[in-house]
Amino acid sequence: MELGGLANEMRERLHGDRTYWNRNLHINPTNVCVSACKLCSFSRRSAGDPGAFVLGVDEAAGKLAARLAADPRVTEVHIVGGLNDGLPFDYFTSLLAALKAVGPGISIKAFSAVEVFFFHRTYAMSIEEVLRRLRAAGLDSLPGGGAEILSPRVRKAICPNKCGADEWLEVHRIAHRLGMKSNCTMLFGTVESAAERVEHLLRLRDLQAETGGFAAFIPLPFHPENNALGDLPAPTATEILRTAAVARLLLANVPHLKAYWISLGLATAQTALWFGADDFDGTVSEEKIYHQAGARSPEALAPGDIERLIRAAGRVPVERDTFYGMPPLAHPSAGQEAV
Amino acid sequence: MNPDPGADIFGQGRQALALAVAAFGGRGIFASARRWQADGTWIGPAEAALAVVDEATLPSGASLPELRDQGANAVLCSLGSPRLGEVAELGMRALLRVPFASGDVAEDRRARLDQLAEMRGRLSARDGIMPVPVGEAQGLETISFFAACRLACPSAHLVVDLEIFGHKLGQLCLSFGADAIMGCIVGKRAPRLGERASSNDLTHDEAALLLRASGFEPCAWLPEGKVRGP
Repeated sequence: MELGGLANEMRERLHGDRTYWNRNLHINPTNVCVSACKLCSFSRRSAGDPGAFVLGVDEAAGKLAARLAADPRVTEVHIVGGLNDGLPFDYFTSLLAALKAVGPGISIKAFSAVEVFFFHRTYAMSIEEVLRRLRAAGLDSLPGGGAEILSPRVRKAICPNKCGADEWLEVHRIAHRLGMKSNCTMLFGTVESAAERVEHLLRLRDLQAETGGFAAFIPLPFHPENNALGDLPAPTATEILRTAAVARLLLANVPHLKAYWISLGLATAQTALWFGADDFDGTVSEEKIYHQAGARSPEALAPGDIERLIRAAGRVPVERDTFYGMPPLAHPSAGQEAV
Repeated sequence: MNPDPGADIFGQGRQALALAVAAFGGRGIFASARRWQADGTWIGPAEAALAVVDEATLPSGASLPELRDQGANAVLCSLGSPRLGEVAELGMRALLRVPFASGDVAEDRRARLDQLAEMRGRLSARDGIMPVPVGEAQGLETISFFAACRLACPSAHLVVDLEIFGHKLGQLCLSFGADAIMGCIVGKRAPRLGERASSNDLTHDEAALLLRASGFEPCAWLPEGKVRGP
């Protein structure tokens, strides 16, 4: 409770009662993944496995078009997927270009550092070249996923085939140097110690001190359902709030802390708004990764629902774009003028 | 006017938690429960400590002694229920349902809490208070209401129904005045895979973990009304 109070003081000093949210859409291009992380409930090992999919570029563009038709004020597409070595690099640049063609004003936050590093290895390009080419195709910023715990010991235990901690940080460092913003995360509640969590946060803080490129930190409690770590207990709500509060205090140089309602659940996310969090994330629509890991939250929220949930927590909802600016009233679709 | 759910939530929580710890010496209860259905069947584990009938769903003319003979040992009652005396006489537990809603008018909520406070002397050590949301259970609203119930009734068991609140919000209530959790708590549960991935079932160890994570020493309610200590 004392910790929560301190984190709340900092949250209110930075943002008052303001609680940010956005209108976004999640797209998962593929769940085929060579990484075989023990913590994952989403991936399939090969394209022939039951439930494996690769989203067609036109199909992805169609999803965005449909979403924009339903709500022209959507500002962001969030894209993360598996490490699928059966796809050419062109697939990803075509995907970005197709989405930008549908919604030129849409901000595309895509490809975790793990995916960017995988592209670098698979397609024999430098990390910088990968980022430059993705950006030329339409990429605006990077999501914060794949950080898990930035400790070699933990990564070896839960995600041995993913890029290492130094490599994850290096991708973000280069992205920031190129002028791109990104988010950072911490997946907690598997095999890590408290000291390893703190070390993780300190490494994020150090990089932020160097580059200033992180917009938000997102604490992600581990979901044990449907994966190889299913015998571990899920972090309790108290642990989630304590972790959010510690992160708010330690990451004083990262402006925003997100209560990602998909992962936390609505009630815990609401409560986190008093334990350091100032962002409720977005409308999302069609979330797969956490729901296959047993998340009980809805798969999407209407803007009115998000505002109601924030107000019910005693905070003031503020709609934002990806970069925490005011969103335009509506984005022009391809071939249309902005109103 | 809605009650302000964020108003000094930390002070309220600290006070409520201190009262709960003082009332039961730091012990937290977990209670496995099965529930009587209007069609006469039970849902929940057969070995459950609590066999709960809900006063609101009893068919007209249903008699508590008959239900007790069928195994019922706890009755979910409204505040001011005329059956409270009979429940006590039959040696059953009374679980007092205290409703709250996101749109509650502050004065109405205050009146309900005052009514709860007046019940203090009528509750035995085996009885409990069960806040129940009308509609969706909101996070801050819920913990704030649990804290208010603890302040209104410092020495009664304040029970979280995990079927309603889920594990996460349910556990959080333990830091805001609740001292007991009730749900489908079993010796061994099915793995959370496929259709069972979202199951609310808990093992005894998992229930104990929720209590420990909130600083309580876990104890179990037993069918005969006793408490099994750690």
